[in-house]
Amino acid sequence: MNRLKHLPTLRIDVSKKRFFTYRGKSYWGFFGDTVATALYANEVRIFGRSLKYHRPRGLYSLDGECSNTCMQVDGVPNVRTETMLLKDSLQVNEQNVKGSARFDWMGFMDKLDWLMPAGFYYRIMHKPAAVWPIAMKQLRKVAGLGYLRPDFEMKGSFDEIYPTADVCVIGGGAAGMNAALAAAESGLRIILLEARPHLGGCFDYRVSPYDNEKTLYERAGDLAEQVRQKDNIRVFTHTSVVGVYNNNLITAFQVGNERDQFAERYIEIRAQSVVVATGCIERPLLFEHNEKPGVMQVGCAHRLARTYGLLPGSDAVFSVGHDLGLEAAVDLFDLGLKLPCVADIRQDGQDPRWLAALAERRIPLLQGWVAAKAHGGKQVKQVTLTTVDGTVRRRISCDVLVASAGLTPVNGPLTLAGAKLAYDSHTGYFLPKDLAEKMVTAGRMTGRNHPLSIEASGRLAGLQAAAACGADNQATLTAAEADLLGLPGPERGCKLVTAPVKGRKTFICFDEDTSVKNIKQAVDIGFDGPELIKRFTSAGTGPGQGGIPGHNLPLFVAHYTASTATPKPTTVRPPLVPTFLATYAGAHHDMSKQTPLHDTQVSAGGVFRRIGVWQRARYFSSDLDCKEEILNVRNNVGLLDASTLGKFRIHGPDALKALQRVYVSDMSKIREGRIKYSAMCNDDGCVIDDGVVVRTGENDYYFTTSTGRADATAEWIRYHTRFDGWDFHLVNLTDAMGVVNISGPNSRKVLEKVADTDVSNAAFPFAAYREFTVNGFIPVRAMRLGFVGELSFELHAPSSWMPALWEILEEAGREFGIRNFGVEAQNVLRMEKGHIILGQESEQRTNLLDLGLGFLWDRAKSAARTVGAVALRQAEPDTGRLKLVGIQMEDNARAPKDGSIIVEDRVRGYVGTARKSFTIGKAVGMALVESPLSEIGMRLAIYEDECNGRLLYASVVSMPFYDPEGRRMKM
Amino acid sequence: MNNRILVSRLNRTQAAVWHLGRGETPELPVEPGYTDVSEASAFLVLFGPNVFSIAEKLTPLDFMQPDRQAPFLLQGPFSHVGCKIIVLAKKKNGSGAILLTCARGYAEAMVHAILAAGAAYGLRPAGESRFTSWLASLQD
Repeated sequence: MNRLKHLPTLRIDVSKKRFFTYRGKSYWGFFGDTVATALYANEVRIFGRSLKYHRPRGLYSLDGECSNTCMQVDGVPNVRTETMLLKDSLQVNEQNVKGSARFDWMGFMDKLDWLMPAGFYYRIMHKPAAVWPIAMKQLRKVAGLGYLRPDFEMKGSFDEIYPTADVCVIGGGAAGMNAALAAAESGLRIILLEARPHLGGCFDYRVSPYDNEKTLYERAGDLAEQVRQKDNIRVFTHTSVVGVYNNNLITAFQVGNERDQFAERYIEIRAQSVVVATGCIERPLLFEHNEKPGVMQVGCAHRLARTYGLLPGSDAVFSVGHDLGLEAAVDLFDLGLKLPCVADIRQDGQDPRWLAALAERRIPLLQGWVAAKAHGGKQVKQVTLTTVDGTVRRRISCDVLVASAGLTPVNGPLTLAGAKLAYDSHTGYFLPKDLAEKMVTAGRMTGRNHPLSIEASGRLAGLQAAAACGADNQATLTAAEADLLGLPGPERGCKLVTAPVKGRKTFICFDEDTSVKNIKQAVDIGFDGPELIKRFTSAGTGPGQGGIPGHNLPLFVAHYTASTATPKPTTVRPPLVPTFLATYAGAHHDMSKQTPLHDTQVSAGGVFRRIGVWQRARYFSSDLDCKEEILNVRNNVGLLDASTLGKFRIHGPDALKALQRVYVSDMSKIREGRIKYSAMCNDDGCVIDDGVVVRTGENDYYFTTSTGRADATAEWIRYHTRFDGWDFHLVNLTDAMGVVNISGPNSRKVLEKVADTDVSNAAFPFAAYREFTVNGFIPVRAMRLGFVGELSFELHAPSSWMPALWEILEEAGREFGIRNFGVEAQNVLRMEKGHIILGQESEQRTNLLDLGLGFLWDRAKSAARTVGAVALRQAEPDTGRLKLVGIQMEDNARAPKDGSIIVEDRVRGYVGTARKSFTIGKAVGMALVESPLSEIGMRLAIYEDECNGRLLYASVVSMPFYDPEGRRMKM
Repeated sequence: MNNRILVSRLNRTQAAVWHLGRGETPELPVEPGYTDVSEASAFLVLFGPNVFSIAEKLTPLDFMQPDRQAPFLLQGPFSHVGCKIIVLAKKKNGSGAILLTCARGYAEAMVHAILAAGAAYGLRPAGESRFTSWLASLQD
C-alpha cells in the first residue's frame, strides 16, 4: 500500500524500515509503526477471529480498546498489536483460528449463535448432571484466546521504578500538558504520564486551526516543547495507568522503545495531588455487523492517515454522532479518500464550519441517519443506512465504514480512586461526583471540546493541583477560573443508543461476542442491572477491560428496560490496561537472608529451602527422611546452624518491667547463670513466640525469639509498653550473632576440647548459661538447652566469628564422626521429644493452655499487666478447646502429611507434624484435636490431601515419644 | 557528621553512630547505653552521577525532596528490605551519594539487586579507599 509520506503530522520515520514476519512470510514497516499499522500497510485486513463465533476481526480503535487485533507476537499471545510498536525481527501470527484468520475452519460457529444464548453455560448442559463434566471439558478446549506454551520463557528485561512527585498528571494531551506546565510554575515536581508513544492527545493528528496562526497539531508540538524545556516536569510516554489507590498512589507500566534497556517497566508513583486528563474514547455505534473488518472508529481512520500515512481504504461511508467525525471526513477526503456519503445521527447542532466544508467538497450529508448494517463476507463491501427512526433505508457500496455514536470519557482512574459516576444528560457522559481528595479532572473528559476550553481547563486543574500541594497561587488560580468561564463549556452529546435493528449480530462487546440480542435475553430472564448482566453475559470481561461496552451496556439496559432511573455504569477494577505478569514481577530479586554460615553449609552439601526470609539448609543428603543425620545426633554428635533465631539485648532501668509485660512467666525469677524459657502471648492468650531469656548484667538481658518473630519483636515490645514511659533500650542482634547448636551424647567431648572453661555437667548443668572463649579468642555465649532431646550446647558468637567457630568444632569433632544436621532432622528430633514449633503445632487461635504450656504462666503476676493473661484466665475453664496430643499411626510405615485434617462427620482437628521415627521405629506425630478426642487411646481418622477418600488412622498416645524422663538432655 | 563520625537520631531514645573513616575504628565507650551493632548490618554506599536514578528503581523513598538538605536520614524499604539510608550528597542532575545499612543477612541479595539495577548506568563495585577519598573531597 502506498503511504502518505510527507504529512507533517506523521509519527513514522519513512527513512527507517523495520522488518518482521507474519505467518512466516517477511514484511516490513517503518520506525514508529505499530504492528497493526504495519500489517495494515501490507494489506492485512483480518487480524484474528473472535472468541465464540470465530468472526473475522480487524482494526477498530488503534488504542487497543478491544481484542480485535490481539495477536501472537514472538510466542506471546494476546499482544495488543494496535499499541505495540514495530521492531525488527518480530514474529507475528494470528490467534484463535483453525487454519488462518482469512480461512478459519471454525468460522461455521457464527451460524450457531442460536445455540449459545446469554449465559448458556449456566443454563444448558447441566442435566443430566453427568453431561456437564464432558461439556465443560469441550468448552474449555475452545474457550480462551491465544495459546501459551507451558515451557515458554518471557524474553526481555522487565524493570520497575518508584518515582516521586508533587503532582502527577495522567494524560499527555493538550489539557494534561497545560496542567503540567501550570503546576510546574510553582516549582513543584511534576510527572506527566501519556499512554501513546508521544504527547499531543487529540491535537496531535488534527490539522484544523487552533487559532489564526496555528493548527492543532502545531499547537500540540509547541506545548510538548514547553514541557520538554521544564526541568521539573518528568514525562513518561507509552505509559498506561493501571491502578489508582488511596492517597494518590498511581501504578502504571511503560513500554520500552528501541533505545530503552527494558521491554516494559512497572511504575509506582506516590503523588501529593493528581490531575486526570485522560480524554475520551469513542462510544461504539450499535448496528448489525458493527465489528466487521472495515468498520472502524473515527479516531482510528483519522490517525491511520495522519499519524501513520495510511488511507484506511478507497471508499468510505461515515456514520457518526459528533463533530470530530465530520472533521475527520473532510480531512480524509482532502487526503484522497472517496466519500460517497456522511450520515450524522444528529438532526441538527453540527458545527457550521464542518457543514460548510462538506458542502464545499460536495460530500452528501444525511442528517438524522445512521448505519443499520454492514454487508460483506469477511470485509465491508456495502452499508445500509437508515433514518434514525428506521423508516427509510439506503444501501451504499464502500470498503470502509467509519462509525462512532459519540464520545465517552476515560473515567477509570477516577473510579478506582473512589469517585462515583453519574449520568449527565447534557453531555451523555458518565461524569464523576465526589472526586477523591486532591484529585482534579481536565480536558475533554469534562465534556469540553473547544481547543481553548480544553487548554484552559487543563491550566486550571494544574493550578488547583499545585494549590493542593501548598503552592501559593490563589491569584493565578482565580484568573484561570475566570478564563475558563469565558470559554465554551461542555457540549451536548449524541444520545442515540442503538440503530433501529433487532441486534442478533449487533455486538455490544467484541471481546466476548456479546450481542444486543444477548443483553435482551439476559434482561428477559430477569437480570435488571448492568452489573449482573455483565456477569451473566460476560460483556466487558475480556482483554479490552470494558473499553468497548463500558458506556453502551448501561445505556442499552436502561433503554431496553425503559428505566426511568438514570443509567449506572459497571464497576472497573485494576489493571485498567492489561499487561504482562512479567511486568509486575519486575526484576524479581530474591531478597532472602543468608546466615553467617551460609557458605559453610553450601560447601557441606546443604540442600537449601527458603524458610520465612531465610535460606536454610534443610537436608545434607538426598535422603529427605534424614535418617543418618537423625541417628548421628541420637547416638553421636551433630552440628546445626541455628543462626536464624531472633536475638535481642534489652537493657535499662525498666528492662525487667518490659519483659514482665510481654512474657507470661515471672521474669524477675531469672537466676544468675541460668536460662529462663518462656512464651509471649497476644491479647487473646494465643501463643505468638517462645524463647529463652538470660540475665547478662544489672538491668541487662539477652533473649531469643523464634525465627519467624524476630522482625516483629522490637515493635511488639514497643507497642505493649507505649504508654508507660519506661526507660529501657532494645537492640536487635539477630544478624549480629550467629548460633551453632552442637547436640548429641558426644557433644560435651567435642566442646571440652576447645572451650576455655569447664563444661562438665557439674560446672555447666542443664538450663545454665555461660560466657567463655573458644580456643582463647572467639567470645561465646553458651546455653545448655535440649530442643532435640539430647545433651546440647547452643553457642552464640559474633557473626564474623561463626565460620571459624564452626571449623574449630568440626575439627574437634572429627574423631567422633561429627556431622551436620539440617532443619528437617532437627524437626524430627524435636518432634520425637514432644517439643513444639510455633506455627507448626499451633495456629492463630491456639493459646498457651492448648499447647500444654500452661506451666509457663505465672498466675501470681498481675493479669492486667501481662499481655494475654486476662484471656488465659477466661480460657482456662473452657473445656471445649483444641488440645495438643501425641498420635501414633496404625500403619507404622506411613505418617500423614503435615497439616492433614482429623475428621469424623466434620473437621475435628489437624496434624501438626508427623514422621516415621527412626529412633523409636514408629510413625508418630503431634496433632491439635478437640478436647473429647484427646483421651489416650482415642482412634482418629485422618484425611490427607489427595487421599481419594482413603483415610489414615492413628491413636492418641502420651508424649514425649523419646526419653520421657529427660535424662539424655541432662546427662 | 563530624570528623567522619556520623550520628543520626532514630527515635526518642536511640541514635545510630557510624564511623565512616578508614583505618582504626574508634573504641566503643564503656557505658551500658552503647551496643556495638557493627556485626548486625551490611553497610553499602552508592555514589556517582546516577545514584538517584538507580535508587528509584529500588525504593519509593523520596531522596530528592527539595526542602531536605543533605545529609539526612530516611528509613524504609530498599529493594523490599527495611533499611536506614543517609543521603550524604545530592545534586539536581541526579548525582550524589547515599549510605545504606540493612540487616547483615540481606547483604548478598542487596548487592546483587543494586548491581542489577545499576547495570544500565554502568554501576561497578568500588573499594573502601575510593569511598573514603570521595568522602574526604566532600568534606573539603
